[in-house]
Amino acid sequence: MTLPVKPTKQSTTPLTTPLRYTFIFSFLMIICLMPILAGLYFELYRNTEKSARLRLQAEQSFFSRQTQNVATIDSLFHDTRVIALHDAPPAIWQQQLTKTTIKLTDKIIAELDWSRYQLSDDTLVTLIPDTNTLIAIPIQRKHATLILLQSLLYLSVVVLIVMFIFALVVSSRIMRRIDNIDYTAKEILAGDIKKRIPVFGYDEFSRLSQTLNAMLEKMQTLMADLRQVNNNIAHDLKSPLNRLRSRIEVTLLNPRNNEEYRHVLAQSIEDIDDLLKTFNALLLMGNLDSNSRNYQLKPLALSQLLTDMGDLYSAIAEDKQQTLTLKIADDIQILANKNLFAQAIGNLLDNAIKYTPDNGSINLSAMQQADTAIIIIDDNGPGIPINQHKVVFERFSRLDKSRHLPGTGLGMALVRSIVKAHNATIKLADNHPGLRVEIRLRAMPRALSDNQGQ
Amino acid sequence: MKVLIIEDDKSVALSLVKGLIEKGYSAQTVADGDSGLLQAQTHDYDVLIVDRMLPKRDGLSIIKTLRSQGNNTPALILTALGEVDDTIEGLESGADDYMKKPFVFAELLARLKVLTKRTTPSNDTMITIGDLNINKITRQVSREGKILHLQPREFDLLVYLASNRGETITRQMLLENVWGLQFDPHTNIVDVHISRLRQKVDKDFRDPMIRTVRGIGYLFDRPAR
Repeated sequence: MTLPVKPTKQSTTPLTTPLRYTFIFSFLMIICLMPILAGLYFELYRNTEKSARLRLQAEQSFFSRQTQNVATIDSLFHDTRVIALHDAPPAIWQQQLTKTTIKLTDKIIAELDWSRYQLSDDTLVTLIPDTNTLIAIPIQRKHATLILLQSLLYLSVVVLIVMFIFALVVSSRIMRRIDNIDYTAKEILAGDIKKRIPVFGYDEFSRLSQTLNAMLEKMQTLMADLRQVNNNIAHDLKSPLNRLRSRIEVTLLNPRNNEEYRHVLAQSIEDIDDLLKTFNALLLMGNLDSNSRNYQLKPLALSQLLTDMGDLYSAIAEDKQQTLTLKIADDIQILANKNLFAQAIGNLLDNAIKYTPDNGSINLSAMQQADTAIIIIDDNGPGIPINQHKVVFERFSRLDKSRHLPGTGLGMALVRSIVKAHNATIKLADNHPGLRVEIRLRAMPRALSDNQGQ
Repeated sequence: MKVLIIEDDKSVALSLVKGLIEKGYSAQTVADGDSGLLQAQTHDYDVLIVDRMLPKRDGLSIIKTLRSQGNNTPALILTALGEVDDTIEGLESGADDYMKKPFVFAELLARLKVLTKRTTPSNDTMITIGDLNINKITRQVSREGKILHLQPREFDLLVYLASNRGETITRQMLLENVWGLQFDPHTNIVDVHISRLRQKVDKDFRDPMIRTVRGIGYLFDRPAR
């Protein structure tokens, strides 16, 4: 094992993801504000002119109500300019006839020196009726624009500052949670596989942490299982190899005659065949479990297969004075790989016969309930303690009391792999006394199976 | 006896050739499907051993092509463990037997012998070996004129052994051909059935006809006098 390196708590990089997002967001917000402000600007533009017109009208009527003496007249608004008529250019004279308010243009301003009236082209002018006086009122549009631009600037700055503070707060909160997960992950990476992510509160992060913790828990048990299986494999394969080696070694100690060599070699081949069988079973299980090979499932006459299997195994049952009873319903059809399924049933029958004492009884039954085929193998032997029901399906997991009996310790594991590959379920139960194994899988509909036949 | 081995795994091919020559066969190897097919088409062989997965042309296709051209040289297909496991597909293509790698050489040899013999199928209804008579129609068996009462499966077993008289038959072959099952039974299940058959066929007679071939299987023949 490598020395666990203590992971350092990562310093938060200045530009974290939430911060980046906030900047992008505030930028987008400012862009969105632009058309609103533009609309506002045009509204203001129109309104300032409108209000200038209204003021001019008010000023006009105010003036007409006053005495005709221009020199003494008062203006209503402080920015009203009063202009003597003789100073005005002809354009205004023409306008005066129609008595409308006009806007000063650069051309009009250029025609006379109006500088003393301090007027710009942004001014409305009108004639007070029956007098020789013009009044002018600036629209003050430029002023309004300035105010608008200023407020836009202030708004942007305020938005940015608020966003930045908000982003910093959110980012530091999120980064703290992420750092927690990151730190734990690094500790696990460094070898401390028992480490778990601390969980606070009930938010998304605690949910994520809980899920990750559950995953770590599961992986830890799987790893422990795998290690156990590896140890078992190593142990179970080591002893026959040792046996083989020592036999050959002893044979080579002294010169022997051909017959003896032949005998030892034949024995060795038998041992090697057993080892090969174990490896083949392991490979087959690996293939089945990983689904890496395509085992085609085809319609199979289950009743026929079980009857054949029963016939095959009844001979060894009878040798042990056991009774193997078949109760197999007719015409059950399933989708299966015949050889694999036969292997599974064979292993189960083999176990039942092996573990049930002499004079015991074993039943192999099969029935169909709706669209489910049920295969039951039960015996009145010693059974398996309930807490061991799961263990027997593990590779090389032989119950202590069966250690002395021949077998690879892979039989039930292979059964489980085959059953899984057929989308079937297998259940162990107490048979009071004995063991009851129940396999359930989908049966083919009768009408269909009649057509396809065997 | 000439054997053509079409196998791309050199070590498997080499050990096969070595074993077959040792047993008195003459063997040739070809490493890919196309040249295998050509070789089988242009030369006469007594039996073909064809790997299922081959470069250029797969084993089943070779056999299908040969059969369609009227070439009925017996063929045995080899497959790696875990390859698409479908005996039926193999046999439908026209192959006569099917074995999984890694195989036991003795098993292969036994199957080859049966295969080469099968080219002259005997459709006789009666099989007579020494003093044993089997009637396949009435399913009656007698030895030295005495009627033997066999169970249906025991009869099938005896018929299979008798039709392959003089050849070593492995337990796996019996399981496949008598029970139609191909799996690894772990226990000596076939031996139990054989010993029952012996009880009936051999026990009460002076010379046994069912002989055990150590480490391989059984051999059935007329009693050696």
